[in-house]
Amino acid sequence: METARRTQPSYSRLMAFCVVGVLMTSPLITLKDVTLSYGAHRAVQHLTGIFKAKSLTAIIGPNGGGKSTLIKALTGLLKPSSGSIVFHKTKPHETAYMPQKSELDATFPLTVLEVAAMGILQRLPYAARYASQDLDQIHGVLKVVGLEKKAGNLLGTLSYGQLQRLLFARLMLQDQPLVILDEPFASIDARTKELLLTLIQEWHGKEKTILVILHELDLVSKYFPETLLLAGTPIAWGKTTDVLTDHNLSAAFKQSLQLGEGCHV
Amino acid sequence: MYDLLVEPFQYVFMKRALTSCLSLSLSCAPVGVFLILRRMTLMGDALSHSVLPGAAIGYVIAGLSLGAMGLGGIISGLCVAMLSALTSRLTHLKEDASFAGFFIISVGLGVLIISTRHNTIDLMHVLFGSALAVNQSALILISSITTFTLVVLAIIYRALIVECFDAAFFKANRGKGWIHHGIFLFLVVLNLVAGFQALGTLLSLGMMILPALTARFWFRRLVNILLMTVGGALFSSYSGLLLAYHFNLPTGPAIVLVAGALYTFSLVFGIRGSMMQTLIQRNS
Repeated sequence: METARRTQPSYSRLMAFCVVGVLMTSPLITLKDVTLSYGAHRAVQHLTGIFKAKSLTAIIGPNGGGKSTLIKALTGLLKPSSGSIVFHKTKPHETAYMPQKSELDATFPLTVLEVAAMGILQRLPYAARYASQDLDQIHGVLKVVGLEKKAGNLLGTLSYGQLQRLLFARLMLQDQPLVILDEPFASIDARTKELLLTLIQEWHGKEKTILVILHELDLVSKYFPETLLLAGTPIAWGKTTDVLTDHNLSAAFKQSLQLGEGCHV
Repeated sequence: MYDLLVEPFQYVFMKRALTSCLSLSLSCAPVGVFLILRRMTLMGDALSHSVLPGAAIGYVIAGLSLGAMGLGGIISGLCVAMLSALTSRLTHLKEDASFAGFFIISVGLGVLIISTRHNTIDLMHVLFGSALAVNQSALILISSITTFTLVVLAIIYRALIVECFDAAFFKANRGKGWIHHGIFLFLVVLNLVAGFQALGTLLSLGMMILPALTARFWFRRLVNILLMTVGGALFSSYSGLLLAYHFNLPTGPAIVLVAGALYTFSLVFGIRGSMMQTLIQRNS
């Protein structure tokens, strides 16, 4: 993390880094009685809690339970209709975010390298060429995700799993203190899934804060120390072992019936 | 052969016509590529109609002066864009619908204003232009717009691509995607204005859209698409002017129809996703 910071000489980031160094396991994002709505429809209600710095949190819950809506609010795409979301040491744009499935246009005339290179967009001045160390770094992450031989290929030639791995490469280059993944495990092959789990562990080891929306409860209990169970209103939030109880899950199930959607918990 | 291909450009009016059209090709073509990538082709069409009343007022006041028509055009184009945005924000209409409402009003208004001059030739001039009437000051204005466009595009190139490929990602990284969107829309209006005199207000969009559409049937890589688009636009300008000269045709439609012919051919016979390709793949 420290080496990556040095390559991004921005005052605010430097500040952010210093503060991270001083405050250890303090809150990164505090939510106070947050309600998120689309027009009259309230997707998330009365959510209060803390995403701790360096935590690895699974966000689970039934479809329509407001998981993606919460992510939108955390990435600054949606403003809470009431309550407050406070970022303590990071800003919404210091987030590496991977959207749900990819809604990307696979016929878009870009190469694998160009898409991965978007990861360094933030530190690249307008109209600047990629420096050779940038290119080395990009090829490096492509190698990690097993796409080094595809660097010059067009996006349209990739399989779904490969496209997903390309987005992981982009996330790695972004190297932000906060990583948010929206259903990254949905319909991916075994190899891609394994790679992603390794990456998440690695990021966790590097003290990044990671929030992941997922449905696979076996993965949650195996890899995620913290869990937020959300079904419109928060059912439980805390240590995964405390959250994943029969009582909580059936409460979420009951809520989901009220939401009028199928339950995936 | 010389008589056919080079001789016509000995005349000053043909030289100016050619220079202005080639200059237009250089900037309109890449703008068109981005217009298509951003799925804004119809928006471009609506914009090209929205500039009409302003251009008409400029024409009625100052005659066929690109400066006056251009200024009027930019003002009315921006007015329609803002009115549409306002309408979609304050009513239940979506932006495309409110845009459609205003642009057709603009066309009516524009035609009405020009017709106050009691001369159908005027109407033809404004709607379809004439590259042969390009004077020196218009030429300078057109080439300035080309230069400005290319410089700005070079600066925002990457941001523009990332923003239209993955808007959410761009917003999370750089924030404020609307600034680039705004700059790009401004470039579109500017290039439509540049095309007024050579191609006319109604056909100005042709130079932007047709070569860019054509290229997508031949290449997949963005750089190649951009090069082919510019090449196609340059070719259409040159051969369109020749056709106009030899067969005494209006220049705007001649150029746009050459570009149109290239597009139609590519649509059917192109090597990337053309009709032929699709049919062959279906049968195999």
